[in-house]
Amino acid sequence: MDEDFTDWYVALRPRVLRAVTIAVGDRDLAEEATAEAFARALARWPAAAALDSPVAWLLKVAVNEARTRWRRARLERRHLQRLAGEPQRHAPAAEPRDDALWTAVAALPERSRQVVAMRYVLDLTEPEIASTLGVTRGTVASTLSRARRQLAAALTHEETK
Amino acid sequence: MIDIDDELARALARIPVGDHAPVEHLRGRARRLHTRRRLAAAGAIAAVTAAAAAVVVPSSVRDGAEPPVTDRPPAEEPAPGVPDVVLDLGTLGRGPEPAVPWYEPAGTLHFGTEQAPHVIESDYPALRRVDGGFVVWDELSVDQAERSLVFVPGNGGYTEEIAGGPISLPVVSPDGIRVAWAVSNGDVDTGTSTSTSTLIVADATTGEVQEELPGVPGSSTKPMGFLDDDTILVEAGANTVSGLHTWELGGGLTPYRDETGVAAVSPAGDLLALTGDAGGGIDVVDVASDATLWTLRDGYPLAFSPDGRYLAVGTEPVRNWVTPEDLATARPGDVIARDEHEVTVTQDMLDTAARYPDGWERIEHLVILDARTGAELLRVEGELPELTAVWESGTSVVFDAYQDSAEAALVRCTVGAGCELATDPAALDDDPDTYDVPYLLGS
Repeated sequence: MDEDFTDWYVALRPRVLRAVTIAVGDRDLAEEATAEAFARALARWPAAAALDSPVAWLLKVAVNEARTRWRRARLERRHLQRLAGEPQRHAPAAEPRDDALWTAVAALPERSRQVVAMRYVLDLTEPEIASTLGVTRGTVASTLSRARRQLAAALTHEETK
Repeated sequence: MIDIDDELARALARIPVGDHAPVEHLRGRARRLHTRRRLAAAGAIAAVTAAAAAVVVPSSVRDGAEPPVTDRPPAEEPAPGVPDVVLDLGTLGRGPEPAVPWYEPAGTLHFGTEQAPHVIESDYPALRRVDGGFVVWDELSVDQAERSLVFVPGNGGYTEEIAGGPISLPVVSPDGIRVAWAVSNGDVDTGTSTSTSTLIVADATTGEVQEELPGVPGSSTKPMGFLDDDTILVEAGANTVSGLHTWELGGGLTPYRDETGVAAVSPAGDLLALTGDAGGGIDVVDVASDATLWTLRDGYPLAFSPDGRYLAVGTEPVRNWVTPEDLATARPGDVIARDEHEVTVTQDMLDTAARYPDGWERIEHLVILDARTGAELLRVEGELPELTAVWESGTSVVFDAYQDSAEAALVRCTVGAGCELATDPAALDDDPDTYDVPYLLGS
């Protein structure tokens, strides 16, 4: 069983981590959230192996974990006394790469980042994305269209540098 | 011809991510989850007893019999109290729709029986009631320059964009006619010694600017509430200037107090909950007398009631950093310490952990306190992951509640009258690890 999980983990982690990084826009947070998602898969192993779309499930668990951490951070900031200084935000701190594409990805709305991650990293179809996110296929299509325009502009910018 | 989809996929694949992490580091996390599930089975009998008794316990005002939170020793985190109500969405009666704005992430704003189509991008919008409708603050992206503030009429008329850009959360005047915010003129995340903000007061329905104070030091200096119709409390959280200031409209900033943060402002502006006192608590301050009435040492203020009589507070009955291993052999009186945290184990804490062994980090208490004395009046326990409380009347507060991470509803609790559903419970995802948020009350 352990070997099966290890193989599964090694095979899926790079792609899932990349998708989570894009979806949450923060590398450190993405690593933590991805680890939690795989731990939850391990805790329910071998049932996790039978999921219809394990990568979509892992991404969603990781995004929820990231949201929980943002929420906690927000509540803790309310609770703890604030030091004199600029307050922290839940927004990403560490960025994987300071280039035009990453900047454009990070600037997308959260939902768009998730759709982009699912479409271009996890290679899910629009119906699969719609099902995973609980939105209509039309919403996925229009979200992707907007995101595609913004990211394509960033790509063009990079190529002309 | 370049295929933009292929090009994007290739480009995104080049974004570097973390190195390979060995699978071994997952085993501890997975063991923790297993442990919780074992404890869930072991604690089932205790949980049934507690829940059966608790879900129907009528809430009642305790006539001050419970010692105020402030009387608890400040050196350690205080013990959680015993809840008056343990929420069970399946047994709560159904009350009327919330009389406060709320959002259904499918794209609908609700206000009483009114509905308006509106798309909110952020998980953390702010919905504020104003005269004639409500204002919605939204983050359109993680880029702080992409925030928006719109007025949504309560009668279903046209939505009006009031402001956009790097704007702070809005505050509303006591009469609901005006709204104030700050525009950051620098980088909120890093800040520089030359960063400034502009404070703005505008008509809540049209966005017409009525007052403006440019060049205020600090890129995150912002209004935190109206003290009266013409005076705004301003929090200066910059490296170059800190503390609280007042802005009398038409004039400049006047230093007010040294505390570094505002946790809550009563709607009439007569009471403040301020962070940053030397003891680490949250002071509740009477503005007229400038006296600290009492200090909250457990929890975080969520909102004062409209007349300032009550303060809703959120708190964790079992700190989220406490692990099953910590509690496995713990006895009341033991001290659990980790990093900068420390908590004394109580029987209430152990009982709570036994009731929710599969995820006590999701369990919060919503506590209603007498705002002028700190006396506890009502304590509600449940899965309150959003922990946003909005007062809809002088005695009723509405908040998000979940049930077993399987369904969620907005719940109304009334001082002296118990709790009821304000919306029907909505099913979350079948999988508790991948739930969605069906209702948003905003911050």
